[in-house]
Amino acid sequence: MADFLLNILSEMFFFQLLFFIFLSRSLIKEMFLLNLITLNSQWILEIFSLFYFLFVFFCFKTFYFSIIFLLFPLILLLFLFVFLKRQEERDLLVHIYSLLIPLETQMKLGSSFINAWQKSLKELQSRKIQSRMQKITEILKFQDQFHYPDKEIQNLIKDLMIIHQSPNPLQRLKHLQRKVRIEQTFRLKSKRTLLQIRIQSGILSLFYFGLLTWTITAYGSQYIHLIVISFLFFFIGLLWILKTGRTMKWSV
Amino acid sequence: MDFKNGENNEMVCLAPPLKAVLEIRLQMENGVSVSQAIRLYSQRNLDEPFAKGLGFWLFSKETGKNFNEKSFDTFYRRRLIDLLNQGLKGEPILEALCDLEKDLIFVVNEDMEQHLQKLPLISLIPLLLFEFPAFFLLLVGPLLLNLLSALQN
Repeated sequence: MADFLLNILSEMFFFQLLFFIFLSRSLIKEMFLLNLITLNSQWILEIFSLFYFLFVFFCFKTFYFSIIFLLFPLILLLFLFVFLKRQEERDLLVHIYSLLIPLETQMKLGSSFINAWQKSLKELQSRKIQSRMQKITEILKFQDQFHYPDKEIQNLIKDLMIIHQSPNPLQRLKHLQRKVRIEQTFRLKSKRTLLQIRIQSGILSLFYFGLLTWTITAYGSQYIHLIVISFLFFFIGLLWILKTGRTMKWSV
Repeated sequence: MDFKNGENNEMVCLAPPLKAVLEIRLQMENGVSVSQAIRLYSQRNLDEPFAKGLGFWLFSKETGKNFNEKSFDTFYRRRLIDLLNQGLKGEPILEALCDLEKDLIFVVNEDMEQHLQKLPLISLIPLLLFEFPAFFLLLVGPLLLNLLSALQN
């Protein structure tokens, strides 16, 4: 029965391939629509994934391998999607932090908080960030109640609003700067800790997939059970390594 | 209730007592009262167990209910609670809060360094238990099986 099912699935390989191409294209398109990637990056990613799927189609015409090799780019694309989405918020936060110094300078020159904020915005290079910052300016100018999806940005805007409404904004801005500087220092340090583990996992994965491709091209489906067991071992190990970086707890 | 363990006690986030001290200090420097500063910190970080704990603690102080302060189980968390307690009684605490912040920055740095030193050893366990066997199976497995079947024949 199992063999029969596997045979049917192997027969359906071409449709599987089409399905995976459709999925990857939709993911890439979604990333473009959400402004996470540029049009050029979208084309590069689409062409690259299409070539990859064609390569898999011509090299591995069996069900087991197709699943491993077709799932791999999809998982990578999903990771990229989540990473870019998070990075976008991080980028905005870093840009707001970087604005605090020119903001202070402008305020020392005699501008009001909002004027100083708008003058500082002109120094930003990226148009995308500038347009997002304009939304924050609107909130600072006109809104008391607002909701921002990222908690840290929301709290920072609230702090900026307090500065905007206070009678002594320059002094309060300095207090905020001091707090932000300490937070940034520790954020960078913990990032460095995680980076070490991520690089280690990345290099390991690169070697492993190279070896996996070589084993499959050399032996075909002869040792498929061995390959599946090895893949499972590798996957569990990788998850464990990535988790060790995230589960370190503070003792203070 | 345990306010120490939880998602935000992990090192990817800022150490909870340091974050609390930084935020409460900022609010106090902005002219906000101690209780209001604690409330703001707690409201802004509702998903963090320590912030939630501080909110509960303040609520129980204000309503006269019992609160087991032992749930803040590290020295620096208890020190912060003692300090805030004094602040709620009307004593000036801003200077002491600044000192606590300095101490916390030093301790958090030390903690981080210690974990960094342990990290290679900790990540060696999954490497030895899972990654090496996975590589070994791919590299030597087919050869060994070939050899075994040749010997059987």
